[in-house]
Amino acid sequence: MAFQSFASERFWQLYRELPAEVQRLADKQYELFRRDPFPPSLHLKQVDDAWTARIGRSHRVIGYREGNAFYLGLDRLARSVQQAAAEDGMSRAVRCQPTGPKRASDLVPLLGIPLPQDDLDCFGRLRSASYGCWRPDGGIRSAAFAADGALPTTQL
Amino acid sequence: MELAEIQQAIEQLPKDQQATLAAWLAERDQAEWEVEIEHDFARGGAGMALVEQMKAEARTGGFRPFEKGRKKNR
Repeated sequence: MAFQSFASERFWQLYRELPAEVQRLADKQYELFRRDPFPPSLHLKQVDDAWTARIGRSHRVIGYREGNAFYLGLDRLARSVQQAAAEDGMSRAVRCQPTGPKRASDLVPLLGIPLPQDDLDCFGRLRSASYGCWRPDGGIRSAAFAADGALPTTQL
Repeated sequence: MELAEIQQAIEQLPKDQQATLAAWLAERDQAEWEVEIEHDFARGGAGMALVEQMKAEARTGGFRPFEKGRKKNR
């Protein structure tokens, strides 16, 4: 079956922010997908309505499928925040959800972790539960965190 | 076994076995992420909102053929 892929401007905005080597990986994975959507190295999998595929160790494509059309989004593992939490002796998982704009600075008291500015900049797309769209000056869509990795999460 | 002991043991491994261990840890991390994804995107999970958001954007014409975007963004 031939598949068609679609992406939004948000996807391309996130793509442009990727480091060059991750962009190259993303291109390579897309080429793989275009030729054959199900090679093992792509790790394309369906979870309910969502489809995910790997782009290296730190990024994923998240999308959904309608018939032979895939609609694609990006997700990022912001490893530095996880490490900062671990180094501070804290075991907080940070999760974001895509609702309601808030400012980045609102997160700091909730996290309870003194994050350097670089980490704040990349915080917006943490693991699978956080999606795009965060700059300290531009706000974030929303965020939640769970202590000790446990739910329930708290939304900002 | 304490962490320091494990680290010391790793230091004593041959390089090829250290590489195997590093690959195993990386894959373990990926598998952990897969579990998070499964949790987030299961019905009622936190990630469903993203999928719904994408669907809404697609309905209002916010998605374009990938190849067109790729040419523009290269």
